[in-house]
Amino acid sequence: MLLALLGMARGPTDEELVRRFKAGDRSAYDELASRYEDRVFTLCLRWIGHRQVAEEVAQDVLIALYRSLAGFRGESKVSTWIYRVAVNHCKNRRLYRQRRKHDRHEPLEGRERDDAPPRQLEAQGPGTDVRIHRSEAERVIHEALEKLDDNFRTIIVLRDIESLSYEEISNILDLPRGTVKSRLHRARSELARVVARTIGPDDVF
Amino acid sequence: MDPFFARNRLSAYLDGALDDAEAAEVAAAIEADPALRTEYEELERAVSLLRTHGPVQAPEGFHARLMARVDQEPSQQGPVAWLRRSFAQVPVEALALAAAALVVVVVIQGRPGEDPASALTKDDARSVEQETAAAQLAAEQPPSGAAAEPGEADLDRISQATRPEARYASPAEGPPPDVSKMKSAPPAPQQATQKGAPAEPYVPEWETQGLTAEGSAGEGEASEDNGLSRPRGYRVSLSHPKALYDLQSIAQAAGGRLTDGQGKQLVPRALTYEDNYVLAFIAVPASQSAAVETALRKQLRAVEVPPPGATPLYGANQAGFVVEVHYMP
Repeated sequence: MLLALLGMARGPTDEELVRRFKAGDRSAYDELASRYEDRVFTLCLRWIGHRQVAEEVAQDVLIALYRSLAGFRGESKVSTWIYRVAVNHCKNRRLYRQRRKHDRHEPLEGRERDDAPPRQLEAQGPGTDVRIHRSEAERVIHEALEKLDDNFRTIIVLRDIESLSYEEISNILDLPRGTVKSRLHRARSELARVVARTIGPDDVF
Repeated sequence: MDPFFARNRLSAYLDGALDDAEAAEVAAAIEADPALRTEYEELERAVSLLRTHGPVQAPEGFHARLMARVDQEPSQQGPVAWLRRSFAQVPVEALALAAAALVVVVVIQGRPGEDPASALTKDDARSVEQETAAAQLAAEQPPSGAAAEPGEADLDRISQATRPEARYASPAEGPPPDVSKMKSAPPAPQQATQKGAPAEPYVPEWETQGLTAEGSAGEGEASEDNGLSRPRGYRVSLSHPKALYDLQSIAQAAGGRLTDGQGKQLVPRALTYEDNYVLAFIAVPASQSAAVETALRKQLRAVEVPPPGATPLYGANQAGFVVEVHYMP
């Protein structure tokens, strides 16, 4: 009884929403999209680094969900499917943006020289002289992710921003669990190196 | 624990993914080795930064804009959508077999005197002539009741036999689904290129020059001055997963290539629920542009759209197509 009440409090599962949609309840898609839109937009933004393009891609992902939902066979979890499609969309979109910049010999947005010294952050007021303002954190994240290899960025975003488990990441990327762990280790090492160069040793967040 | 092994376990240690014994060893190594401790602290700080500030909310109005787009989408529910999805799951070979069976039935029906249905139609045709004559007589003479009944019965039979749906041997003979149409129709450009197709795969200039443009149609670096042009954009939404194979056939038939955005050969693959969006490029000699366009429209029912984001540029003797492929089971 208690479990049933807890279940009601949590709301319907993704699979229940899919069943409802298949049965003709369009509002189930509405609910599913609401449930995932922040996560999908976050993934797209952290992957692409441009808010407007990220919104376009996130919308495309959720439209793809709408188109496929009625035929969804449940061979994977809905969340796995959404993340996998989102990663594919991001890779495609970013590929062309990167290519344009590369061919014009332009640096990627926000890219700095790798040997640049750590930037001294501005003080944010009394008592917070070592605290990074949100916008500064945003900039550091953007620059750090931009410098990562696509595979590293993907796994970092899924694990450290989307907070997915090794198992979920393994399913999304279709990689063995051991590969997920080793790739994550290498990605984080690279990330830490880039972040350490971007901010000072005493900066906290 | 050796610092090398400890270093390789820092990430798992941070996630709490090590067993107790191993975690204790890594903790001891961090404590004992200042360099390892610094490394761990940097790792921890970077991950903390992402966990704290990484997640964001979708922009204001995102959901409303999404639902407005959904409103423009064809319904994914109901019998029509169900039929579309069902056909998508039928193997192409089965559809080809059904099409072949259909041809056989039509041919047999077309041979006079061998098919009861043909005989019925001929009888009915005679009945029509008789009824026409009877009607003319009836117009001149008062109806005689019993004499008129056989004529009415014949008319019923004719109307039954000549109803649009009755012209087909079975419901399967109705307008074929999109999939069978696409698979059975010969690629348009094949005929056009069999005469003068280049022996070697066509390599577009942009692959060697590395030129791209970004923006909507008409923008970017393409202009009449530099003789470069942006590819034409098409969108293909298909319910069968072999669209990339079709695109490759179209490209090859026109003496061109199917590539990705980097100019690398795009090896066709069956699309899936998860891998349902691909941006493919077709580069062909300019003389094949019309043939490719026709093939895209007729075979794949492609719709012209502005080319997305960054695209390669093509020289004066080339024609480029960028095709957004959406697999919609």
